[in-house]
Amino acid sequence: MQIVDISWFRLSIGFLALVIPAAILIHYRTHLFSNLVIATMRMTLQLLFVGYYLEYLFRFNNPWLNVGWMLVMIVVSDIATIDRSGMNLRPLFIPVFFATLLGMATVAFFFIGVVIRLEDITAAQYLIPITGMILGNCLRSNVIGIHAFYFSLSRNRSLYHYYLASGATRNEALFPFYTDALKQVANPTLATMATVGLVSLPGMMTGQILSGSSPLIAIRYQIMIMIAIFSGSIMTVFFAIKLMNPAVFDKADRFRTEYLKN
Amino acid sequence: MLEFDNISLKFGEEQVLDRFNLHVGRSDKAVIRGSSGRGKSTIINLLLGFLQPDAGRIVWKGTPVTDENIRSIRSSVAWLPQDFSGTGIVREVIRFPFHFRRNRGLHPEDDAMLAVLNALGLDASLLAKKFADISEGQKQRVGLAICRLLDRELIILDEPTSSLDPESKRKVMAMFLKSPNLTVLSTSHDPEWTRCCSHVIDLDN
Repeated sequence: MQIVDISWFRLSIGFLALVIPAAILIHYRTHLFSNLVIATMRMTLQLLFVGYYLEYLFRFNNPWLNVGWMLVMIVVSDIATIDRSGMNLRPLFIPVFFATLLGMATVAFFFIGVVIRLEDITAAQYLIPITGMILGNCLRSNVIGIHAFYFSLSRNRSLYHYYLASGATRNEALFPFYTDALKQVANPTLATMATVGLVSLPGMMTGQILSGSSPLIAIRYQIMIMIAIFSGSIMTVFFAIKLMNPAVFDKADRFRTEYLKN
Repeated sequence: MLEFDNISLKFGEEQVLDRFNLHVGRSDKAVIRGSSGRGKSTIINLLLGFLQPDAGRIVWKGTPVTDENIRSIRSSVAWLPQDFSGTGIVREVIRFPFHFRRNRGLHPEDDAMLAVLNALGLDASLLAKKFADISEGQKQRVGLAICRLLDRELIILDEPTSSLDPESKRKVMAMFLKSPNLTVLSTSHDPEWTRCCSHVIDLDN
């Protein structure tokens, strides 16, 4: 069955679904109305841009363009990660970029090359949506993980100092902070994995079914993407903290709080 | 063994230490006393390399302390911080530092651990309790027990008797101040503790 197209006019009617939630937010003085307007506008414009861009990307299907777009997505994701996790951007950009590239690209190319066994692993039709899905989740995990790690360390600095003064190496003294941060990253994804299909139908699977794929193919892709999201998230957060630490700690293992925004 | 040589430190506009000197020899029982905010804990943070002095130098066993060799000092001390804390049950809190590579050879047997706890007036039933649920005095003595079990060259105690009753205090003093071989650097407001120390550094004078 062919998918039914949504005209721009009919889509604009869809925005009416925001009226009641907006009224609730205004009534309870959440001060989130302007955020809602900005976020909705940004979402629409960004997706419009991406839609047109992807049309061309898919048409050309050039490996360099496809990988270049993946790198652009990583850069944008890194800026958002560092900003939202409450860290200072400039000195930490490079470590977070490489952590995301390593964590996300390893998982994406493993699934595209080894599991799907696609001949052209940079094919736009696969590379862009799969890396996009993993990256979106890596962004959320990175924000949670990096914030949890460094702000917990900032609050409990005396415990970190105590471990150092008890003979711990920096990594040994940071062990409980890794534990907490990884738990905070893993728990929401594990909860989603445990309930997927029962309480929710994920976006990728829904999209495939809507566009006419068999549900049995859609679930196989969905299982693959859930595993990719979990692996990508944990690896990206772990690599990000590991690669950021040489900048965030000085050579005497002192925590440089100037990297935290107030 | 340990020297502070003309150490000065400012926090913003406030001069916390001004050409401060200190000498601790082997087996000394030194105490730093002074009213709140005079820099007692700051001296310990300087020694452990968590703060850097504006001027002066700290010398450990004849070698000036630098960022490069600070880890060797941290591996030679046992420290009870004023706000000693931990997570999990008491047994895990005590065992945690012994998982560090530096301390693996020191991993205490249960008998040795209980002997130290008993000497400080704590019994075996405490080991299974959540650290967060025990009293401040018990927490302080758990921290002191770890210091003793780590068996280091220098023991640093920040206000070691602040939460203790007189009986527990006597036990702590017997363990740390009456042992001839231990080198102890402490900070304290407690006159009884101060009286039993061999050296008193008074920051108010």
